[in-house]
Amino acid sequence: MDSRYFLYVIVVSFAVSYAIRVIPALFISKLALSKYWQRVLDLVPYVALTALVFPGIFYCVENNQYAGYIGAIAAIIAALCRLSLSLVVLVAVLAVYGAVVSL
Amino acid sequence: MTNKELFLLGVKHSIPICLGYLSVGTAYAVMALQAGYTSFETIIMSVLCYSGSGQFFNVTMSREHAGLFAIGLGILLLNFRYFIMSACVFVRLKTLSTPLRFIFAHFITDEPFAIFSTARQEYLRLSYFFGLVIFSWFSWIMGAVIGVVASDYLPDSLIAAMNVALYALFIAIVVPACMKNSMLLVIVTVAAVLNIVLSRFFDACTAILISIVVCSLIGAHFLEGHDIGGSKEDKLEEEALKMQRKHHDSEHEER
Repeated sequence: MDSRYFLYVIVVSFAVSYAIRVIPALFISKLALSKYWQRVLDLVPYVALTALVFPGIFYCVENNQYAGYIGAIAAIIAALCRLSLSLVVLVAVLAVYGAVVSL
Repeated sequence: MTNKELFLLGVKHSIPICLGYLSVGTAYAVMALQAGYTSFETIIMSVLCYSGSGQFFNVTMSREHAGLFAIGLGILLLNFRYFIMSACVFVRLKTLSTPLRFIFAHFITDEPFAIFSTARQEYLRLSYFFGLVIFSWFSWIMGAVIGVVASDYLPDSLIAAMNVALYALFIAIVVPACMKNSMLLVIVTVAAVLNIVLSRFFDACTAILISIVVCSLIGAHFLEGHDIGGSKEDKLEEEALKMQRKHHDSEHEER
């Protein structure tokens, strides 16, 4: 693998993210999106985050899939209890830590 | 209010954002280091990309040596919401000069957007936005620095456990929105199942991209008439357009 691969990744994602942010800042008045595409754009973050989480979360601890399951369940329950973002993260990390130490 | 007061108010309002960014930034750094990024690369990515989900996506994809085109496309899809957020923010800062637009566009992220776009009319000045974003960005970078330094000192079991942090954050974002909208719950459940199945046949990056495109394009048809929890942006955009129209009208009257 090219040793600069990670740098290329950083440059590409910087170029794309910056373009997304700067284009509307410069041309805000010429913007028009149909209702359907607005809904697609509303949906993308939720779908993307879900796809990033499942099944990745199951394998987040090497050689210990149960820790991943426990983390997923702990996070979902904490989120259902309407805990704040940082508390959900804390609960999940502690649950996985407990699983890693005890299993 | 003077510009200085507005700036300080922005800083004050950004404190909860900073705390969140510090901790998530740390978790990101731990994960990036494990994926093989050097300390420098880990930190510079936080400086330049400045996007939690984007950087997490980068780490996931580059761990599997995904192609640069796939990564660029994924970032485009994942961060396209910044397009709308940026429009919402800058429509409220009409008098801003072009060079300043180039600079401040970089600081558009979910949380400062949410605060700025719902702030009172008299706060909608660059000094307030500057106060809101500057330490948020700084905390995100400091989080990465702390992660790089701490990964040498934290016990391995805790570092392993911290890998779950960003996944948990995303669950914490998606679940409350699903509690308000049952159709969204159906769509993301389909996305999760589809992605679990696809990742048995494809590499992780291809599976994620297919899942995002398929579920968003099809899901949007079923979402009709439903309001997503976060569709605040929609209303804000309408509101922004109204403001713009008013502005135009008053210009006409002056003439």
